[in-house]
Amino acid sequence: MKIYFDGGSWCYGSELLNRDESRFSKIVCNKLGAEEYNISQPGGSNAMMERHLLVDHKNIKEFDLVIIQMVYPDRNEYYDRYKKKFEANANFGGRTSLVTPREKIMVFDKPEAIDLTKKAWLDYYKYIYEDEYGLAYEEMHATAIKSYCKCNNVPLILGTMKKKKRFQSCKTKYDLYFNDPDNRVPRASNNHPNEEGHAIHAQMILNYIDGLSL
Amino acid sequence: MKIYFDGCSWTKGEELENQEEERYSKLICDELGAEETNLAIKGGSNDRIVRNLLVENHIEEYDLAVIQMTFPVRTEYYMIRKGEYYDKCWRRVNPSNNYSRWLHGLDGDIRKLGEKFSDHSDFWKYWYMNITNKKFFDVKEKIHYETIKSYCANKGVPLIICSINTWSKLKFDFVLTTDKNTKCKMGHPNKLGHQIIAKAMLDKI
Repeated sequence: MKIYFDGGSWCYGSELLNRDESRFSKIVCNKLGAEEYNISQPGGSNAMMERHLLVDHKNIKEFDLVIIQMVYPDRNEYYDRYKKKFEANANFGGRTSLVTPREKIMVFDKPEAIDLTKKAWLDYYKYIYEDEYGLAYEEMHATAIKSYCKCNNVPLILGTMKKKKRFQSCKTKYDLYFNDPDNRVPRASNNHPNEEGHAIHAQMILNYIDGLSL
Repeated sequence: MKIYFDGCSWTKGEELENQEEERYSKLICDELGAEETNLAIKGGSNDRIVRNLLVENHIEEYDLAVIQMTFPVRTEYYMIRKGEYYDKCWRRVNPSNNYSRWLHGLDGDIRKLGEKFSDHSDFWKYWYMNITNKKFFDVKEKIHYETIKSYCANKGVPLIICSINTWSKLKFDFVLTTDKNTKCKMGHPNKLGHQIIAKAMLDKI
């Protein structure tokens, strides 16, 4: 059995002392005797996850299960012509200049500290991005991921980092809400789940898998 | 029978004298006795086409989908205009064919690129010159292509997928082109051009 995981920093296992052993993807795979394939990235976007699935993986059918932990809809990515790879646009300034539409105030804090690419993304959030856009495109990414897995007959568990109550009006429906305040898991200093938090998330996933006829 | 059409100016029937009667979507529907739904707009993007398909409409209500993809450099954003004239709507972003030609190393004149954008022109000019690139657009086009195909397949709706992007390496049912006999002044298909497209699609149907 081989399981495909993708997501942002929570799925990656940020802040874990021994990420490769204690992140939820590894715990789930150990429990099921499955091979873990985890391509998540800190700061990753829903667009990145859709790209990974639809373009980068020529044969998704080699997996027995796909588990994707979608993130906040305001994140995006671009192709860095110098590094010759796709780069996340969020979290690029580190903790002191985290850029999301909800934290626009940070844009003007340290303008001299950001290069022109980052400045362009800051302008994007200042002038172009609206939550309506984010919600519509989140649904597009989620629907595209669901369709692609269904089309290839690969079971999918689609989770999100979004808080269920805050986005109840959102049309996009998820199987699992990893960041639900009603089920808040223990965190590390920078707010990522710690070892215990990952163990709880792994159990959430295992419980959900129990209900699937795999 | 109901047929869903989406695309850009080519599918809208731009430059035709009587576009609602002469465009290929109408010709196909008349031939098949089908009801035509044509959502195409001038300058429309693949982003918009996918949003229409996945979010705004119910494709399972149709018997056939005909999607005409366009140049992947186009995009869209949601604009909320606050103030005296409050307004909110999806806005097209179309850097023009010259930009696509320039992107592919041809003789596209991009000196007036900033004039192509009705709002936030400085931002979009910088965006197209410094943030995006050919690789980005190629990958985006492939994502849209796979999304459209898998979504229609899942919903059990037959699909004809075509494009006007002659640089694309993707496998479309049709790549739409015109020649001196079948194009209007601005390059869109003329009445004969639409008849030829309709005939080709009817043969496939």
